[in-house]
Amino acid sequence: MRRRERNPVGANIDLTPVLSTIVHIIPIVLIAVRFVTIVQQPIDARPLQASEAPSREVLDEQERERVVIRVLESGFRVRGVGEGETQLPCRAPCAPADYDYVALSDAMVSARAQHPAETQVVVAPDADVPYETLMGVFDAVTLRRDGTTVRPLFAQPMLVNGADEKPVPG
Amino acid sequence: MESTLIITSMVDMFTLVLLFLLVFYDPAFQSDTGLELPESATDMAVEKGPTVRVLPSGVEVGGRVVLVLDSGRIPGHTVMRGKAFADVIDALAPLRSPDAPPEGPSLVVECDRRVPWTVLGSVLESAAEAGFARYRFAAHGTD
Repeated sequence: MRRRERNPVGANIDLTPVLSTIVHIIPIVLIAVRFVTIVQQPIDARPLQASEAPSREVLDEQERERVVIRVLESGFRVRGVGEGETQLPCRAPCAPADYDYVALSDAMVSARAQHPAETQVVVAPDADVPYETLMGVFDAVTLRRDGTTVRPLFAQPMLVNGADEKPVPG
Repeated sequence: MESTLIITSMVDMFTLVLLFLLVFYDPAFQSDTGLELPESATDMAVEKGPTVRVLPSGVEVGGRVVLVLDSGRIPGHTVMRGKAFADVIDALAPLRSPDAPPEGPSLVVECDRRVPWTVLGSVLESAAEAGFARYRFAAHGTD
């Protein structure tokens, strides 16, 4: 009777194709992966404390000399750059990416020149403005990047309640 | 005489490395909680410390959900103290460190990019009521 042939004891499995595949996949994954870096943006929000929270009118009176950015669903309104308010409308449909952060950064450069001693800028968001838009505002008001040059602008963004559509007097 | 290169150990190692990369590679850069941080151009590394996490589904303190939100909206039955969330104040108050710097204790805020200001503002009001004077907003670095 003929016995069925089996692999002899000690036969090696040829792992070369497996190794070759893995060696190719690892560099592809390493190139594709983008390592996540968590950074932080220090924010001043002391006026939010309930006992100190100012009304819109009080804020207007106290902050008349400050740079104020209202973040509305229709775009930005900036006070403290020239006379009155500067309107920076966003493109429809006004998603976070549709806001004009470049124009806001330009306005902050002008504001910095007009208020050289000021380190704070007031950011007053509308109720429905998402956090992503606020982070874009913080980036625009704190640093100006021109290629490899980084110029500090206003180091202390200060969040307050009270954005609305009505213009600020004076 | 024929010599054999034993590559079994190397295959083992590569297999483990590959599995590690595939498991921890997250193409959407999202954690398992669904938190989507916005991007920021700042390069300041985030500090460790008391953290509040604000998601469209709720507010977490120390990994525990202390307030449930309705797709980024404040439910009508939420207990408020002024503009602050009562449950968030109670959860944050014990986290305030007694040896905080003179300018006051700081709170790391991990907020989802979709959360509206009305919710984030109330969370900050709650943090202020709990004694936190400074806030550090977390974001993904762009560099």
